[in-house]
Amino acid sequence: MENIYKPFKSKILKVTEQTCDTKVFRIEVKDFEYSPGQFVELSIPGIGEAPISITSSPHEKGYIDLCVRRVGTVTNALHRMNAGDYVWIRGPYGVGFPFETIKGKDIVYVAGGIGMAPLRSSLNYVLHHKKDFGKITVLYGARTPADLLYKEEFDKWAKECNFLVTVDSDKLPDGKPSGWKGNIGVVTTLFAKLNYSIKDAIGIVCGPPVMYKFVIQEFRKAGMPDSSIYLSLERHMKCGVGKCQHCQINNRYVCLDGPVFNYADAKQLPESI
Amino acid sequence: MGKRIKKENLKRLFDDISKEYKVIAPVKRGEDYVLEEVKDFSEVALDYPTTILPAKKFILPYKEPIFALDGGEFKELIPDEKIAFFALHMCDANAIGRLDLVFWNDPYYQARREKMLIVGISCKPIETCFCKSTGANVLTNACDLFLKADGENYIGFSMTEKGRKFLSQLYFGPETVDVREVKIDYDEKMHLDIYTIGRRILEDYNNPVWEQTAKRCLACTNCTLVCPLCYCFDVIDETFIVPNEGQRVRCWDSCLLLSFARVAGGHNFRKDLKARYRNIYTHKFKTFVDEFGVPSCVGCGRCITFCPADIDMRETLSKLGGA
Ligand SMILES: Cc1cc2nc3c(=O)[nH]c(=O)nc-3n(C[C@H](O)[C@H](O)[C@H](O)COP(=O)(O)OP(=O)(O)OC[C@H]3O[C@@H](n4cnc5c(N)ncnc54)[C@H](O)[C@@H]3O)c2cc1C
Ligand code: SF4
Ligand code: SF4
Ligand code: FES
Repeated sequence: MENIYKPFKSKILKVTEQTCDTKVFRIEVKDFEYSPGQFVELSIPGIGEAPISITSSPHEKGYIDLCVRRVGTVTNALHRMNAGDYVWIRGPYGVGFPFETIKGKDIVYVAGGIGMAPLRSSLNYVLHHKKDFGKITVLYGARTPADLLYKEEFDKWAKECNFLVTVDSDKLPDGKPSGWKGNIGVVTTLFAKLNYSIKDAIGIVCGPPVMYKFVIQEFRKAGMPDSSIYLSLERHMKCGVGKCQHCQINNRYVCLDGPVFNYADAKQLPESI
Repeated sequence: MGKRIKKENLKRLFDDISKEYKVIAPVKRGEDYVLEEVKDFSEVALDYPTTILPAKKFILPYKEPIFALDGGEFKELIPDEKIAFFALHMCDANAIGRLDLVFWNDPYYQARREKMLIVGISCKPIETCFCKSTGANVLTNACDLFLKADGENYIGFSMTEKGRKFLSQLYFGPETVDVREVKIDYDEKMHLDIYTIGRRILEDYNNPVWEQTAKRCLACTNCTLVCPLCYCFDVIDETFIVPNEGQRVRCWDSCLLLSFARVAGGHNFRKDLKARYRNIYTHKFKTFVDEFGVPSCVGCGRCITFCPADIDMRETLSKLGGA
């Protein structure tokens, strides 16, 4: 019997520092099919296992990128690793974004903090198949300018889509001014800057737990029906395969039925957001 | 079709099984009964109310190494044991049948399960039993062999090939007894319409019963520990003193614990005990029913017996309507 818990060994090809607590790890994979929004379980022997979204796009072959914030046991150990070291992976798991249903539509991405990781996979995939989609907007918020991820791609995104960024505070973590000239305020303040109707667009959201309610309010204000909103949800996970019960939200499993949920379904599900 | 077996011949059945299997049976320890390995038939309690822990403690052990971390590689540790449960009550055998639905593709569970023999036995329902409400009072093929009490003696039924092998031995029979259905029938103290109640949990999410009961609950997790169908687990890497050596273990967890649904950043999706307490019920009577068609409760009554706060699951359920 195939062991559903057994990870396979994969080499770290490259490590790029994004912010003081976040790095992108490029990991070698062979014949690894996935769709944006899916995640893997990443293991470091003797340390543990954690679910991490794939942040690269399926059109990139031979590797996956994982954008990881240092918060606890596994992520701290991973941050100490370098190119040439090995990690262990199993997956991909979960259900990603429904590209067939959203083809031809406008899309509004709303990302908060590390929530940019899974959204970037979808965004770069959509931009790679741009002619299949309508107008693409990205609203991205981080705590401070020093916390912004993927700054090296901002120019590309600004060229290829409607890309708006904001920070909660323009101070650096040590309290010093950053010289930030852009928007200041939580991510929902960016909705006021949209100069077109997003009523018929698809909304895609990923961010810290507190963010969802406020973003959904904005979408609703703009006239977007609940069924056009997709949320990528985070839960504590131990198995990734529907057994351990950690990720359960009433009668749904985030690891099997999600992490991407349609809001029309999620709102029927108490405790989902 | 059943075949009679005299009580004094149960020893021969037991000895036969012992030749092939490590036998786990109920034995008396102080005032209580526990399931443990038994070598001598005289130690087996044939007539007992219920054991403290169910068969789960052998099928999904409290702490089970699943991988050896050997020089930084993951090596599978698939268990290799041939266990026979002897004299398990119908509810406990059916609980294993329901665990099978969850762990059908779990290599550790299946390694044990495929080689396992389950011999069930008649019980005398006690005050806390509600197996009828949960549909777990009927003989299913979770039992390979079942011993139905018949006065002083028993009638054996085989439900699988593994069971038939023993039923065809000469200590059974020779004549057959025609019995259509084997079930435990009695008047439950409180009969519950489990499926209606299960549906009501999500419909009537904020029923005051959750708040009221959570106020009494100590979050001690006794109820989930003793439950034959509570299988939430945690996975932990343990390292030994030698570098690169250790093991990944799976151990029992409980959705009643505060940390169960906490994520990085400190947000906790079930911070209130009310939400965690309700989660036991949503999982058992709604989620599991949606997934597998039966509740993940067999009405064994252990959670009622071992709750230090005298919380009775039946009362909680009855307040949701459908009693
Ligand atoms: C589908 C999915 C996708 C994800 N994708 C990403 C991603 O792309 N990038 C990313 O960086 N993260 C991602 N995460 C989150 C990541 O899995 C978690 O942050 C994970 O907990 C990290 O594991 P760890 O071992 O490093 O942290 P842990 O050691 O598990 O600690 C996590 C947090 O919990 C707190 N904590 C742990 N135990 C306790 C305790 N006993 N008491 C109080 N607090 C405690 C810690 O302080 C810390 O803040 C994702 C999660 C999910 C479910
Ligand atoms: S919930 Fe209680 S009655 Fe039901 S199977 Fe578990 S311990 Fe037994
Ligand atoms: S045994 Fe009783 S007090 Fe303990 S967690 Fe269960 S319901 Fe609460
Ligand atoms: S992570 Fe274990 S059930 Fe979803």
